[in-house]
Amino acid sequence: MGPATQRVAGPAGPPPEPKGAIMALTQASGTRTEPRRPSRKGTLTALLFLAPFFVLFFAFTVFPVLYSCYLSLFKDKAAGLGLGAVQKVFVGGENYLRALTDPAYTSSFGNIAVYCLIYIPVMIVLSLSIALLLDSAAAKARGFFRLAFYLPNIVPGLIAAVIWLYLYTPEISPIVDAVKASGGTWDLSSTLAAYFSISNITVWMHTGYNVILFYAALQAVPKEVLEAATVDGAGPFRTAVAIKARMIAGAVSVATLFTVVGAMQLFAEPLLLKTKATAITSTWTPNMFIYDAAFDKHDFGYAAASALTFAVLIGVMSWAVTKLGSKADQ
Amino acid sequence: MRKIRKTHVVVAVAGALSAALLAGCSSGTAPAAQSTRSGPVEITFSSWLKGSKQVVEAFNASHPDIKVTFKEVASSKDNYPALTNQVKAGNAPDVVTVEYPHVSEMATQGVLQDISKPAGDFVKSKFDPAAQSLVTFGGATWGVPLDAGVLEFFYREDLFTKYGIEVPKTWAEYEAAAAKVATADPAVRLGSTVVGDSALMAALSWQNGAKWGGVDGDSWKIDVNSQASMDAMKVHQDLFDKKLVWADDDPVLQKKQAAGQMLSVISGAWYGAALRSSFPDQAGKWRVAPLPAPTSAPATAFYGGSTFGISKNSTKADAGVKFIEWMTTDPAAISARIGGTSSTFPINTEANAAAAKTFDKAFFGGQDIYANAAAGLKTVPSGWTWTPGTPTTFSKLADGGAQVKAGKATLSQILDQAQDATVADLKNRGISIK
Repeated sequence: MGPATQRVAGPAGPPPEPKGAIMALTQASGTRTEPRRPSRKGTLTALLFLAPFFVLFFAFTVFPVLYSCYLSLFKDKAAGLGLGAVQKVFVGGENYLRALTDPAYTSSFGNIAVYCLIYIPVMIVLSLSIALLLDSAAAKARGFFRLAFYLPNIVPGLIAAVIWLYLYTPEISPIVDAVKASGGTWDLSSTLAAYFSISNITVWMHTGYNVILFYAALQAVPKEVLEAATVDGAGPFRTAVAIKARMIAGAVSVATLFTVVGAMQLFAEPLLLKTKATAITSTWTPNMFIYDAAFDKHDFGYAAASALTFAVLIGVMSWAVTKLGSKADQ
Repeated sequence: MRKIRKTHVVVAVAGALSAALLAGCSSGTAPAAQSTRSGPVEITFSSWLKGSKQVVEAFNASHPDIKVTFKEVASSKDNYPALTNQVKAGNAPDVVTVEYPHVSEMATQGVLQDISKPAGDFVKSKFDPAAQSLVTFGGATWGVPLDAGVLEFFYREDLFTKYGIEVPKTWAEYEAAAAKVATADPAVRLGSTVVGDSALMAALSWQNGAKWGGVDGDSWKIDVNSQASMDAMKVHQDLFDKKLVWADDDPVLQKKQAAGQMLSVISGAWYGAALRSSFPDQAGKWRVAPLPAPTSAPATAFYGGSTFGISKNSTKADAGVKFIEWMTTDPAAISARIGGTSSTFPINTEANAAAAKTFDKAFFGGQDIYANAAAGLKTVPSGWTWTPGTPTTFSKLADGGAQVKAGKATLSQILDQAQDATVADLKNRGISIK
């Protein structure tokens, strides 16, 4: 989620140098020295400097992906009691076909979709509202509040889940006590409760981060426009909603789309919370499904196939996000 | 000249890097280092069981010919994924710890090696018949049993007197007692539900004569939803439906137990020590009785318990088995493990006598809890077998338990679901099912 959303800051930053300036620079340097021929020495030096990146990139990105592709085409076949040696059988697309027709796998996408429908609107509207409030003329102690809102984001997802796990436990949690004292009932076992209990944690964690992004984008809104709005008789509320929010619409839409991509990878929170929110099964999200296939069922071929299918989906979505993002920029 | 030299350097660097990468990739096939003939044989051992470090220290001190290096595992949950990965990578410890429900899973995943030759006769002659089918199947021995989590009835004697209830001998009496307690005080219950605890569901089915798995020639038999299992679950479904037992999860249940709102716990023999460390202020108030039985004939089952095996890539099975034999049967090993703080119930009789002697009985008001477990061990139906599909059975029952708690399914329905999921999982792996 982190690295993906960081790129959202792009649209709000200064516009890129016009191409002409760069060309002028290259031309200027070109006039000073002889036109460069690719020298052997230079190539070697460049290779040496580039080597660490490529070595690490191949060892930790390309190779594992290729290895997963390889694994996904095979299946461990045992025979009889399964006590003898396992045979690695080439099965082609069988693992992929099985994943796509496995109700546990397909329903995990449904769960993520519902979760996104709850989590994302709440989180984006909340962060936008807070950012606008911080940016308003009446705001006091902006630095403090920016830090305060940001703090939950530095808590790792796993720890956040543990904290909330306790806050969700009856007879231990002050929140549950308060709900019960005011006459409400507390029941985390329903399907809806599962979605809301997870969304609550992620909203708590990620709102502050987006507040910072939106607040930064708001700083780039030209003063003249706001002054003009004031002169035209717009009050602070109208300015915030009709002018400021619209002017950072690009940042908001890109943040939203990146949040979707991040939200799809939900894993640690439901894994921990499933003991309390009992509607969460061990294959509730795509990542949980993959984890279960690989480490509970030891079916690495199947896990690789479902992981790659999931990765392709995320890849397609990220591509769409970038396309839409650049459109929103224009 | 200079240029050529630099090329050499680059080629050398690239070569070294790719060699390092290749080495990293192929370490899985590298043979384990051979032990030299002079000096002790060095073996490694991994476990999460309490007291393992002390056992290893005691062994090393008394056995100059074998040197064991201990590798701690965080929990049993981490143990099995770690072992399957380590065997794939070729760096699994020589001696590994595997609980009963996972022995056949680990054997079929290629984690355990067949130890019939070095340990087969030893297992047959030194351990109770009830434990045999748990470690020996398919004509081979895969592990050596350490302890038995004999399922027992732990109860608060003081509160039983207060509410005027007798220790139940059958599940019918248990239900009557549960009703009496709930009526006497709505804030108090006799015990907690089995819903959500897959291993306990298995143990209670076992107690009723069910066999969730078996071997028939070259095939496994899966029988999770047999009539015996269904019958065993009836009373527990009833207790849950009528809210005669608590249905809370751990931290809440612990709180209720601490407050004296829960009068009894059904658990394995190992629970005695856990009880003492969790509720030290309730010392002297707890007692142990045989598990309530389906009929007037006493019966119980295993709920927990571990074995030791030799990993597939170990080349030192003989030394490993020697260490295992000592760990599971030598009184010195058991004394080192227990150290006054564990209530592990060793299956081997000599080791058991040492454990009973070492365990401090004060918490149970001087009652000999080992005698109760020993009597229980004799009433465990023999022939229970855990199949390689057990993890699937358990996770399906755990997911289903949530459905039962939400009132959307019954225990008998989730037994059906678990049966289907287990069969499908094993078939997918190419394992033969009858």
